[in-house]
Amino acid sequence: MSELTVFLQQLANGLVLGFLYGLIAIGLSMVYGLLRMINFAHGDVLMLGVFIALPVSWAGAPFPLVLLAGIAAATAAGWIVQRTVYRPLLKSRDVTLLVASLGVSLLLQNVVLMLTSPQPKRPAPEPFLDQPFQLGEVYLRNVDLMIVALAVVFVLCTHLFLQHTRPGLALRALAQDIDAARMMGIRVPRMVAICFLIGSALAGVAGVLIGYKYGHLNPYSGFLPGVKGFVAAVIGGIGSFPGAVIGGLILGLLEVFLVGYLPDALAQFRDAYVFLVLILVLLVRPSGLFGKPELVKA
Amino acid sequence: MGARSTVPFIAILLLGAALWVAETTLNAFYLQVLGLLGINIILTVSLNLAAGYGGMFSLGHPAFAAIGGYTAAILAYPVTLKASRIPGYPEWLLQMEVPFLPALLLGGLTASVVAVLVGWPVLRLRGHYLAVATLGLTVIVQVGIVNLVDYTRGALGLSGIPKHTNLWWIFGFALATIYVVYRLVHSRFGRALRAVRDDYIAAQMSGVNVARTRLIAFTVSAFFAGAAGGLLGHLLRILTPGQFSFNAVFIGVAMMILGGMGSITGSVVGAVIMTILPQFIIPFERGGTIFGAEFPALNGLTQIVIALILILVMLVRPEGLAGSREFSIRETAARFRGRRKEHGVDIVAVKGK
Amino acid sequence: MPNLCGRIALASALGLAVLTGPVGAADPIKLGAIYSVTGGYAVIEDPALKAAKLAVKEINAAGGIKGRPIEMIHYDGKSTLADIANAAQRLVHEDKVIAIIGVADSGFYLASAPIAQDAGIPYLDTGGTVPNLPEQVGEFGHMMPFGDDYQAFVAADYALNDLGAKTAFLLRDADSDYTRAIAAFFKERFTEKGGKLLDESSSHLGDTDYSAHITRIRSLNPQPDVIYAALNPGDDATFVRQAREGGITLPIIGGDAFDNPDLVKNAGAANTENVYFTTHMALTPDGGIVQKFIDAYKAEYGIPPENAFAGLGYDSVLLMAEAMNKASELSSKAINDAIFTITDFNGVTGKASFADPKRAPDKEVTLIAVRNGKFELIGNRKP
Repeated sequence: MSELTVFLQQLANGLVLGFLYGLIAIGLSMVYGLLRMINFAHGDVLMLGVFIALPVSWAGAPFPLVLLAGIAAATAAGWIVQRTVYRPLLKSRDVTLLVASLGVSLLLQNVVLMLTSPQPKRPAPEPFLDQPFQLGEVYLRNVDLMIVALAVVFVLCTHLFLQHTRPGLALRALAQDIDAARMMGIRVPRMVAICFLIGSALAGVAGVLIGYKYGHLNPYSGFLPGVKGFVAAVIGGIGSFPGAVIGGLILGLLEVFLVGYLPDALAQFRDAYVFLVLILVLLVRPSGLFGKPELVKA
Repeated sequence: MGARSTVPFIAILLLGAALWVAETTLNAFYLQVLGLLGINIILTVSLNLAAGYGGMFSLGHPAFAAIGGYTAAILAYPVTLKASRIPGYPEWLLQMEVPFLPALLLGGLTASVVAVLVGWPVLRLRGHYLAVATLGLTVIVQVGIVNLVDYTRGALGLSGIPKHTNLWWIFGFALATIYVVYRLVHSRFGRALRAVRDDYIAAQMSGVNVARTRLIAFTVSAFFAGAAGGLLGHLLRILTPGQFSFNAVFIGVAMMILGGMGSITGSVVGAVIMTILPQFIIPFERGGTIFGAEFPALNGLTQIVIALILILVMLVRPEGLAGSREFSIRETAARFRGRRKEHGVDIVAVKGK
Repeated sequence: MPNLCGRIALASALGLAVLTGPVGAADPIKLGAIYSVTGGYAVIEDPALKAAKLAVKEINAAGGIKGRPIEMIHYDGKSTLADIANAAQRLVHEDKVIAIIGVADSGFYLASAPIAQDAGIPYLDTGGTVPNLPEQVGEFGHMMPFGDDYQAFVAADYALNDLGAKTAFLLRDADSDYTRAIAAFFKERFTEKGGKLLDESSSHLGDTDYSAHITRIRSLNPQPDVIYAALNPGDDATFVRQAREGGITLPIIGGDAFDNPDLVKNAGAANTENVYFTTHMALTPDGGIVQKFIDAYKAEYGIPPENAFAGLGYDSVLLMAEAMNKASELSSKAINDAIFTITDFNGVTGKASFADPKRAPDKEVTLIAVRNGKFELIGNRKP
């Protein structure tokens, strides 16, 4: 492999990972923009989505159907959580919401563990997705392309929704100023619900794709992606919709290139560097790298 | 006037008697659980000083506990084991075995020094930005402990720490923590601190040095978290990086919020619930027979019950069980007599930012 | 002020909260068990617990020990240090067990073993593999598995002598002690015997993406002859699959973490060609006690043992039972002494001697090759 191909391969690795992080980050970022809430249960909603999609896959359903099942399950889970736990707390302090989300996270992990097992699971093999896709010496699989394609499509759809529909406009108004928006007659709880529906659906997409790409799912599988998604959202500028996607890409590339190019004695500190970058970003630009377009409240 | 000063005195006497009874009659299992309770009280009260009273929502306190814990443990570690287990240190340190109290205090001080170094730049951030930045501190410290094997014994954990702690140490420190934090928040400094928390700009305009006030509270808070880490290491006789991970962050925050941000009483209540309650549930997890009926093993029952309690308390009492009130004999007595007079609340719960 | 009365009441009530075990057979022998069935370690400790329960059931069905049944009292370690230490205290001081088995992590063992040591109760480590664990604990500390050095040395020798490798790439999970240890021992042996380590790389707990490591391997010129993958259970299949799909056909050698049916199931049979690993027991049917164990496990739980820790959990009970049978009386001290006299233990994880009070048992390491999606025995070796 020439040095250029190595670079291109690592770039591709990082972008694929980054799009996954981005999909997860959007939900966290939007919810934060609206409620000032760090939703620690976001990753677990993702996990629940895949765990419900898994039997669908084992029953022989093709990928699109499994994807739909994952989206539906995650969306339903997200909606139920926000309806039962978060909505009654809309007027409480933000830390109350944070602890409630910790509770939900703990609950989901352990209920799923009790009902299944701690052993890793994977969806039934999907020959099409596993097929290699070669660009010169850069090796990818169709699932990688699927991740990029689906991420782009869903991000665009969300973008169009936010820009060109009335609920989208309302959401953006809410993020700007929740009190003013309320006075303008926007029904806050309904908008919060929509926000959770979008975020959870995207998490469902990410979850199913993670399942097919890595084939390694257990009841704790949602936790780390949730944390990574949040880090991505903060780097990109929490509350900002494009920021979440770009933050995801930055995080993915950062992780891959640190491991790919540093000597191991230094590379083993990977997560420390990632958080160091995060802290530096916060110190230099607390509103994130990508300023405060769209959903950031000043 | 006289009643005010005798009540704490009697309380301390009662605590002393209780500790004496506990130390002489209870077996090691209860002593360990109670020890963990005391350490959790210290951790929660110290976190509350930063987050509840100071408005600095820190997710970095496990890092301070880790730094304090490892420092104390390394200082007090038996010389016979030092050279083989943590050979990275200079010779003079390897030859040194510091007594427990100075080791503990130095652990707390080291945590404070780190708090100053980190706090100086990071405390400019507010709200969740501060939370995320301090979460970064927790991750960085943990990664450091895992990888600096020659200094910490890495992921295996620093085992073989002498068991210097008992309930006297732990609850002595807990009492000291409560006393210091109580005096601090009920002083001129405490008023300034709460003013900064409630309205940054107004506090600045009325002459409060915002940065310094926050930094002092953060540093004091880190000291006690560090001391708690030292007590923990000398109670369990081992420290591992896994003890100071995300899980520790969550449990710390949960204990504080469950009890009530800005209430020392609440911190104690939160620590009791999160430490003692699981001990009652654990026997039911493994299944067995109860009243003649067989029931299967219920893996994760404790976590599920704790999760439900967290959610329910947040739904029913979003301000936490104690809100921002403190336990007071006079008020409780008044309530018993049925006179519902106004609470002597000295802190108004404000929407935290 | 903390509510003192409340605390005393709590403390005394705790004593009443302990459930009674199954009633019936008179005077059961209480064997304590600490396995994490929740949290990150459940993936290995849950199978260990299930197999241990199976062993207890079989022993009791066969008449128990000296006419008395074994009652296993298990607490969930929750993959959390304080919970594991609490569980040990509870077993020793509340349930007053005669011996303890448990945990599959050296750190967890070191957190709980001093409690048993102080009380003079033998405590057998099921899966923590630091070679000198007993020495670090004292005379009441014992180990079921071989040490990390044994399996890493056998792996290094196999790479050098059988596969004819001269160069290697080392991948390890940097966040756990076990993976760091086998990686270090492999490196030590491989370079000592003339092999060359071309490069190494660290993954992290919970990582599922190995693409950066794989590209790093592919970028080496010349390519290494072999990859040693020091990974945790569950991560084995994830890595092998990504490596193969990323275009790497080199031999991959792993540790006992690779020993689970999910390796082939989750990575795919085609991807696991040219994969080798060292482990505690040959899960391949050989008609002997291993096959009997696998069949019994299947009958009890509906699935074959999830990984090699099931075998270790099973053997942990068998070893304790043998020690109890050999002991002059059913006391902790006598059982502890009896363990040292067992030099010809024959369990599903191999033959072993427990005479050395300081180190892991002297035990053969099983070498397995994966061929056509099946585990094939290469041989049982010692370094």
